[in-house]
Amino acid sequence: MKGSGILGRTRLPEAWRQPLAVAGGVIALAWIVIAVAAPLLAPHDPLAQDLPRLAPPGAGHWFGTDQLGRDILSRIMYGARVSIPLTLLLVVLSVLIGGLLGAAAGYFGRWVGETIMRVADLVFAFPTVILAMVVAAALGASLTNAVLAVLVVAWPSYARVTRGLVLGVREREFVLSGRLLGFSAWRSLRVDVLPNVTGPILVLATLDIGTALLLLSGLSFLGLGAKPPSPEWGAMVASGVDVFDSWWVATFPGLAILTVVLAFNFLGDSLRDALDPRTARAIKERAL
Amino acid sequence: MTLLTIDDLVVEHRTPGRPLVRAVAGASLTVAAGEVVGLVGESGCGKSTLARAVCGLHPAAAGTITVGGHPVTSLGLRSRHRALTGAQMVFQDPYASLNPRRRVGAQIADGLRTADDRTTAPEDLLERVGLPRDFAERFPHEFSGGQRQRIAIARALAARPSLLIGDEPISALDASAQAHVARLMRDLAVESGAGLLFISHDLSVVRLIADRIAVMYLGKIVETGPTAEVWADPKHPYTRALLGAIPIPDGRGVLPTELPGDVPDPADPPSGCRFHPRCPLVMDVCLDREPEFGPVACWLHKPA
Amino acid sequence: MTLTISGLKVSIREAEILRGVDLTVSAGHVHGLAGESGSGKTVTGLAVLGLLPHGSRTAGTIDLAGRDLLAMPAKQLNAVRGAEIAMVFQDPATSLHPMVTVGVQLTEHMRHHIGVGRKEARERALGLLAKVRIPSPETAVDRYPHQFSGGMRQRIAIAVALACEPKVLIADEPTTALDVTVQAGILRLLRGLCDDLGLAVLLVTHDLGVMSAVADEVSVMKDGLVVETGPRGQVLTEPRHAYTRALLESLPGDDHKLPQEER
Repeated sequence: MKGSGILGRTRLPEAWRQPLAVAGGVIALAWIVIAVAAPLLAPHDPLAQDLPRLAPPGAGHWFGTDQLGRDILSRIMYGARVSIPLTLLLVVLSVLIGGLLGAAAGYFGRWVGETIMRVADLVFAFPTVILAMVVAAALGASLTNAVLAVLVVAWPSYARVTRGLVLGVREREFVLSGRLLGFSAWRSLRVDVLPNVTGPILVLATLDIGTALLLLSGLSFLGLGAKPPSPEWGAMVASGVDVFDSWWVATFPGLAILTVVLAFNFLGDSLRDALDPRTARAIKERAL
Repeated sequence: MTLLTIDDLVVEHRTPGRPLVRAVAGASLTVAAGEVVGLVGESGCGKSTLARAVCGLHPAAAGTITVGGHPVTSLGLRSRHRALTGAQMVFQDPYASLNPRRRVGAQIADGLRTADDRTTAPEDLLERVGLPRDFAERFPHEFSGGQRQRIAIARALAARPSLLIGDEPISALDASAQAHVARLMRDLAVESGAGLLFISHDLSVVRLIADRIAVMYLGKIVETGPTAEVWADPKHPYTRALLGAIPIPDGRGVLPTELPGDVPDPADPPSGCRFHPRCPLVMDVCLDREPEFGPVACWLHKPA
Repeated sequence: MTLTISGLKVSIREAEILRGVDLTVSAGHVHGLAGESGSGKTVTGLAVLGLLPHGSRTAGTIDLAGRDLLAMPAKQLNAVRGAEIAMVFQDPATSLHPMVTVGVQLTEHMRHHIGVGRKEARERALGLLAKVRIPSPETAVDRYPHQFSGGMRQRIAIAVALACEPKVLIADEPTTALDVTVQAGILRLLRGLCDDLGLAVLLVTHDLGVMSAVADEVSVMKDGLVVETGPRGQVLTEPRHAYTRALLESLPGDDHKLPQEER
C-alpha cells in the first residue's frame, strides 16, 4: 500500500489512470508551463500594437489580432500569467480563511460557532456574482480588488464544509483518546482533527478553481477587475464582444478559460473518486 | 487501595423532542488497585455510558465519581487536569481508535508524554503488547483490528494510568483474538498496579479475566460479587436469566431459557424494581419500591 | 422437501472459495453449518439462493426436489426464491426495508408469489406476526421497522422469510448481532418453526453453543470443504476430525465459539 500523508491509502495509480484525469492533468500542466514560459513561448510582445488590426487567424498570428493590432496568441499566453496564479492564490486563501473559521466553529461550537455560521449565512443569502460585483465596485475596479471580492463570496462554502467535517471527526474515538491523554483543544485540533478533514476540502478546492477563474474573469469582463492594457482573459472577451464579427478576438480567450476550468474539474472529480473509499474500490475492481 | 469510587451516579441523556432518559439511574461501584471488575449487561443497560462518565466524557447529573482521590470533571475545552489523566480508556471500535494520519509510534509517544516518561520508548510498549518493535513506523491502516486494539492499549498504558477502562474493547474482534486481548489487558493492568474496569456484553470472556462482576440492567447495577460465586450461584433473577440464556455446546440439544418480554424504554422505566415486569419471582413489594441496596438489588435478597 | 448439495465448487474472481461441498438438509431438521471466517459457510448459503457476486463460477449440483438450482435459468430461480427457499440474514437493522411498513413487507411477497387478494394477505400477515410472537400484531402490522427492537426486527425478518410458505430456510448468523437473552428467544422460535412447519433449516453460525442448542445435524467447514458431518451430539462430544477437536478445545471456558470474521 502507498504510504500515508494527505491522501491516505488511496489506490492512486488506478484512479489516476482514468482518461479524464489524465486529460485534465495534461491540460492543467500545459497551461502552467505556458504561464511560466510565456516570455519564451509568445511569438509577439502582448502589448505591442504593431500588427494589422483585426486580422483573422493566419500565418504570423495564429489566433488573429485584436482591434489595437495586438497578437491574441501572445496575449493569451501572457494572460495565463495573470489568471492562473491569481486563481490559485484565491482558492488557497479561501480555503485557509474559510477552513480555519469553519474548524473553529465546528470544534468550539456554542457562540463562536453560531457567530461564524450566521456571518456565513449572510454571505450565502446573496447571489454570488451579484455580491462579488458589489464588493468589487465598492472597492474600486482593479484586479486586486476583484480577488478580494471573490474571496469574500468564496470563504463561507469552505467554512460550512469544514465545520461539518470537524463535527464528524470531533467525536471519533481517537480524538477522545487524545483529550483523555491531556491534549489541549488547540493540540487536538491541530494533530487529530484538521489532518483528517483535508481530503474532502482538497477535492472541493480543486473543483473550485474553475469557479474562481470564471468569477474573476467575469468581474474583469464587466470592467470591475483587470484594467487595460492588461492581457487578462475576461477583459479580452469583453473587448471582443464589441467586434463580434471578428469572432477570434472573443473566442480564443473564452476557450482558454474553458479549457482551464474543464481541466481542473476533471482533476477534482478524479481526486474525489480516488479519495472516496467506495468509488476507489469500484475503480479498482473494474481494473481487475 | 480503592482507585475508582462511583457513588449513586446518574447520567442523563436528552434528545430534542423526546423525554429525558436516565441512561445511568443511580449506580455505585468500586475498583481497587490491581483488581479487575467486569461490568456486564445487554444493549441499552447503560454500561457504556457509565464507562464514559468515569472518564468525564459524559457529565454526571447526580452522584460522584472519584478516581485516585480526585473527583472526575467533565472533559471541557481546557487540557485535562493531570490527576485525571490517571483514567485511560480503550474503546470498542479498533478502526476509529487510532488517528489514521499519524504513525503508530507517535501516537504511543503521546501517552508517554502524558506520564512525563522520558525513558521508555514507544517500541518498548509495542513489545509489551506483543507486537514487533518496527511497527512503530507504520500507519494504522496497515494493521488488523486486533493489532490496532493492542496499539490502543499500548497508548493507554503509556500514560501509566491508575485506572484502565475498556468499553467493549474486544467485541469487534475475532473470537480467538478476543480471549488474548482480554487477557493482555488484565495482565498489563494488574502488573502495573492499575485497576481495570472491563465492560462487555460477553459473559464468557468476562468470566475469564474478572475478579468481580457487576451486572447492569436498565441503568442500575443489580448484582455484584466475586466472579466465581456469581457464576456458580447467581442471585438476582436477571443474572439468573442472563446466565441461563447462554447456550452451552455440550451436544445435548437443550434450548437456552428465554427471558420473556422486551427491555422497557429507559425514558419510562417500570415503577418499583425495574425488572419486575419480566421477573418470574415478582412479589407485591417489587411493584412499589425500588431495591436501593447491594450487593444484590432484589427484595428476595434484602440484607438483614 | 430435501435440499441436497453435491460437490459444490464456487470460485469468485480467481479464488476458489468452495472446493466440493456436500450437504443434505431434510425437512423438519435443522442442519448447523459451522466454520471460521474464510471457511466458505456463508458462500454456501448464498450459492443455494443464487446470490453469489457477479462473475462467480460454480460447479456441482444443488438439488431441491429433483431440480438443480445451479442449472436453473434466472426467471425460474426467481420464482423458487422466496416461494420455496427463503433466507434470514445477520443484521436485523439492514435486512428490512426501512421506509415500508411491516405489513406491506409481508403482504408484498405474498401477493407476488401466491397471488392472494389484499384482505387475505393482511389476515395471513397478522397470522405470521402472531406465529413469530410479535405482541399486538394488529398494531404492529402498520408500524415501521425502526420502531421495533433488534430482536423484534429479527422475528419480523423471519416472518417475511416465511410469508410465502417456503420449504427451506437458510439462516446466516441470525442471532450473532443480538443480546444473549434475545438470542435465546429467537433460537426457540426457529426450533419451534422447524418442528411445526416441517421446514428444512440450514443454520450457518460460528457459535457452537447455538449449534448445540438447535441443530440436529452439524457440518464443520474448513477452507471450502466439509471436514466433518454427523449428528449434533456425536460431533460435539466425540469429534472424529482433528480440526473439529482442535476447535472445541481452543475456546475459552465452556462457551464454545469459532473464530469468526472481524467486523
